[in-house]
Amino acid sequence: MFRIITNLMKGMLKSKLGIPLSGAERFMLTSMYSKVDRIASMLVAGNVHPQLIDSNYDFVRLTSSVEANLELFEKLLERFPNFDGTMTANWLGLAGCGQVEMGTTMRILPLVEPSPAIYALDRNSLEELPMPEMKGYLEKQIQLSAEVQDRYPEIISPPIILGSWDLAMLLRGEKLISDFRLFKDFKTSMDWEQKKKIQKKGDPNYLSRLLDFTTEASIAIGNLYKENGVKMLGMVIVNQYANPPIMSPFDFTTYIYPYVERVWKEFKKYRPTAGYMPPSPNDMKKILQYPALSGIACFNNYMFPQNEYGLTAPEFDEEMVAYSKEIKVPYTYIIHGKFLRDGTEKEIEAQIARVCKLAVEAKAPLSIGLSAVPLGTKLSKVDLIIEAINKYGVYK
Amino acid sequence: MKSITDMIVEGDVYNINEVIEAALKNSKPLDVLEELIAGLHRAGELYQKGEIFIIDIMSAAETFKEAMKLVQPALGKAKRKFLGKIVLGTVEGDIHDIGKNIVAVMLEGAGFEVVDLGIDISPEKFVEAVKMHKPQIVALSALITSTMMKMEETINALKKAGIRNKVKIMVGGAPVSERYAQSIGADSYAIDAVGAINKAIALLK
Repeated sequence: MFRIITNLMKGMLKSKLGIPLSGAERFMLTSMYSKVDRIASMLVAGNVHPQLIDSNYDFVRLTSSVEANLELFEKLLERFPNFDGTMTANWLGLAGCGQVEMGTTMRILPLVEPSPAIYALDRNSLEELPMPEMKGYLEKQIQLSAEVQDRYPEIISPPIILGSWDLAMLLRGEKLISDFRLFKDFKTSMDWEQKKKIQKKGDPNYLSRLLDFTTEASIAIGNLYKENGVKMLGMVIVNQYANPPIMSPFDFTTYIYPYVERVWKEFKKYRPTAGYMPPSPNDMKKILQYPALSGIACFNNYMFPQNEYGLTAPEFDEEMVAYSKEIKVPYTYIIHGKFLRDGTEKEIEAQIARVCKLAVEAKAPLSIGLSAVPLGTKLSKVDLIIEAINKYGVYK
Repeated sequence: MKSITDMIVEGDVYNINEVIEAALKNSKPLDVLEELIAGLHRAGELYQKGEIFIIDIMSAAETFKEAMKLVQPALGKAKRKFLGKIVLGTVEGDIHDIGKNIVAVMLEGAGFEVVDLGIDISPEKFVEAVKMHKPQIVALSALITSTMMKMEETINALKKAGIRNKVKIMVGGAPVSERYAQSIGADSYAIDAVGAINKAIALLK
């Protein structure tokens, strides 16, 4: 904490004096919507396919060893030393988040990110599920978070925990969507005959019982992080399975947000952000009004409509950069993995140039990040992103 | 009273059976089917415009399937004339099927005979299925970047078996792009379920 504040003060002073900032300072100041020398770059380490960094590391190895994740992270930092922010040094994937300890079996293949194979609620009733404890993959994830924070104090590495909806999805699977539909239809129907018909299809109250349980479980996971030495400042509460196109912003804010907010309130003093990514600028403006969703984790183009090449609608960026000035929250432009993999170097550079120009002209702090670096990507394209930001992203 | 088309769009699975039973007493099964298909089309269009979401389109698909349980037997000899046959599956290593299931129902609604192989389908199983079902189109789905590589392996397995030229291959899923589809030698790429219908129809021409 002390180091973060010192870096921030140092960065602000350097920025005022026109001295070039370090990557960490630039990243931190951008996050705070403070004046910086150029656009910040950000890489989520765990989203880089491990085989691209070193073929000795696969998901079987990475999900069974904390040390393997730390080794790979070190190799990744050596390969990409010039990103301003490099976060989330883990390739444990979904295996590390608590649902495994609650009964879900993950399928772990060498080259494929872990996915749920058998859901806990296919084997046990909700009442039989245990609260998460410090064991198994969750324990590894927590140890890894604490270790990364100790070894790399310059790197911002807040804990990331599953929110109520994502945890429910990883315990229940696709059936959660039917649970939601029953719950919503029952709640919105004004006709008792219709309500009876809905009840014949299933229990409309199951969803709220499940979300009450996963909300408590999400809080318990957060507390396990806290009790086991992880610094919680800036923690992120993830509900990616609620993102469009799965669920509308209206459904999310009406029916799911109250649970998300309960987790957020529990850790409020650590300034957490609950991620949710809406599908349009208008939805974005509404979403950012919710206290738990008002941080940088939501404010990006990730879920804006994409074309067949993985490019989000460019006209939306102009509006979002202007809005970022209004609300003083930095916008993050995310390059989708498939565009990075399949786009030519010229096309990628053109996109970076376009977004940089918008932010530089508006004098608005902005980050550029990568959603993923999938297998089949030439790593020289990742280097190109840094080069392009240096070329086009300097504030005058 | 809501039309059958509206009931599909709204995913009114609770009342569809009553309405279909009544409709089958007064109308030809093929006409009822037309209304169901119109509903599915409309839901697909709304999804494509971003006006409804996966949760809603899954309800539409479930309602369509529920209705088909009554309409299918009523069709009897007046069987549907299919536009063509599609073998569909999620590639090996990938166990995601929400998107693939929606595409299957939408294609069925659009008039295709769909053979859904399920999830985690190896290249060899696709080859067997093509030999057995003799489809015009094979549709491959993947949700994660590291499993989509199996699309290329599947295409290569079809080549090796000497049956690649007997089928058109369509690919789709979140990590797939038009350019990737071209690079692996697929005939078509669909960005979503409605796109899949249009591309499948185009492939038959």
